[in-house]
Amino acid sequence: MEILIYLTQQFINGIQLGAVYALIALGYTMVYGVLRMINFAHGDIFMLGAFISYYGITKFNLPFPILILSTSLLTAVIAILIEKIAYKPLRNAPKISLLITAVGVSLFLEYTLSLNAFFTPNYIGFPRPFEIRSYDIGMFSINNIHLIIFSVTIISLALLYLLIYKSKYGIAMRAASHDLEITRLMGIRTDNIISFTFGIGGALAGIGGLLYSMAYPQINVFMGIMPGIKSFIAAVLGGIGIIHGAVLGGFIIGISEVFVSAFLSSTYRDGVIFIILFIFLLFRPNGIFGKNIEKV
Amino acid sequence: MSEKFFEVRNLYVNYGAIKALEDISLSATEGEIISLIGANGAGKSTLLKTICGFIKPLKGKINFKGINLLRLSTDLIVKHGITMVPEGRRIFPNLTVKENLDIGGYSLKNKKIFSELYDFVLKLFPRLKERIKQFAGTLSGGEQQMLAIGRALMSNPKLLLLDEPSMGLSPKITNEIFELIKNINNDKKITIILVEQNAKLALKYSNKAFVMETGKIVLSGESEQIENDPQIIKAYLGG
Ligand SMILES: Nc1ncnc2c1ncn2[C@@H]1O[C@H](COP(=O)(O)OP(=O)(O)OP(=O)(O)O)[C@@H](O)[C@H]1O
Ligand SMILES: [Mg+2]
Repeated sequence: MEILIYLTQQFINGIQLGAVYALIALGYTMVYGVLRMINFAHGDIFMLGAFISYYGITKFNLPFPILILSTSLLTAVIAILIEKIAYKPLRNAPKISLLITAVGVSLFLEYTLSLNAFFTPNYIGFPRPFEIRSYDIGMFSINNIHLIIFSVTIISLALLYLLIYKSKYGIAMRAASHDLEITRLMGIRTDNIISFTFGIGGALAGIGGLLYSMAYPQINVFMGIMPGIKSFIAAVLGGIGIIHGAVLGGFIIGISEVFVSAFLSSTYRDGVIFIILFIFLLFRPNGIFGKNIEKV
Repeated sequence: MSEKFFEVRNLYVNYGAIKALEDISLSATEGEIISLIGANGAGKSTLLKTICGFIKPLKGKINFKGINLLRLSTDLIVKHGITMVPEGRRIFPNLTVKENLDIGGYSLKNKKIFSELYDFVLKLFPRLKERIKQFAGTLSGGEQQMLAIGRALMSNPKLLLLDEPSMGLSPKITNEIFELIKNINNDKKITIILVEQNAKLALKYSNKAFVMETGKIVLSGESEQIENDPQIIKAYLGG
């Protein structure tokens, strides 16, 4: 009985972490869909989401809904600007140049912002916008941070679903992820669709940064690196380019991580994630939902 | 000299060092069907891709109703009323039939024109109507070709480029498609440039024909005349 309660508790924590990974993984997968590139700077957008909300709370004392909206709006704009400034000029360059540029953007953001004039390399405590409150449900407990993270994630995913499957831009984005050239032949400026994709991915990562900092209230300029890598793994696990794959992958990685920390040791948790990916890719090289990646 | 509806003049296209088109000139009057005939690798698809802005030529001119198309990107060329049904159809298999048609009309601002076109396309291809919610990737080859044509029509084109609409289709479906192309040309007064390997079919359905060989136009004229000239047929079109 004890163990069952403990399991359930860990499962809730796993879903909480998985929700954040899912939000980040979506950006990797959508950008890969339209540009066939891995945006290595995406983890840094997550970090910026955390810092923007930090200032939103400490300097402006924003109410929570406004905090989410302004954080996601700003990270969306930043993601779009990064695309326009750093990636767009390389549209016809080999993919490897794009990849290296993305790594460069990531390092640039991290090390510039770690200067003392900006955020410094130190950890700062993240002030929660709420007092933690625990609720006992039967034998395990759930707190309001869990509940907020779950509901914000669900709302974000529902809005994303509407955007991608019901809006005109969403149709164009799905078309572009299949055939960019023919999408142009539909009278669509694909540059706009690419911006749209980066914007949505940036907004979700920003929300992820805010939610993550509420659960683990220490932020720092390098905080995007590991969640970034793990979310990328989540996207690959689900089948890169596939929206629901990224969501499922995020939850799988989040839950595994929490369980490894709880039952083995937190020292192993990152290593185990890579082992999961490794074993998994042996059997399903294109991820859970992936059919063929090489659809050129 | 009166302004031509559509005109390609002295067009040269290279793929790297490979010459794909050399000194291509052709023109179309409004309402015509023009066919481009030639063997594999003659450069037919290259010409159509250059017209819709996928490929930038080395030199030459392409004008449509007095507009220099070479200055425009593909999305703007489409907004000016030109579109293509590409070789191999290239419908979006991950979108439904309806979404494929919707995206075809993406740039139309006028809702009324959009829904008129939508009705027109579904009337033209009742088979699409029955499969409107299906993913396009699950359609048969012939249905996919219909969808590709329907999708192109949704942009309300004045000039429609068709790249081998008969590819991979049975003779029966091919005839059906060609009859529909004829109807589109009649009903909507859409000018058509038709690429086709089957010379007999192409000549039957077109007003003018251009025969291409290794990147050059080697023969052109009224389709009817060419059709009835056994010597030309023998020399250029393999009997
Ligand atoms: N992207 C490309 N890169 C290099 N060469 C190309 C490319 N596309 C086409 N070519 C070459 O240009 C020439 C013309 O090709 P194109 O596709 O225009 O021929 P086509 O007349 O449409 O032939 P088919 O009837 O087989 O479709 C061919 O020799 C082809 O190999
Ligand atoms: Mg061809």
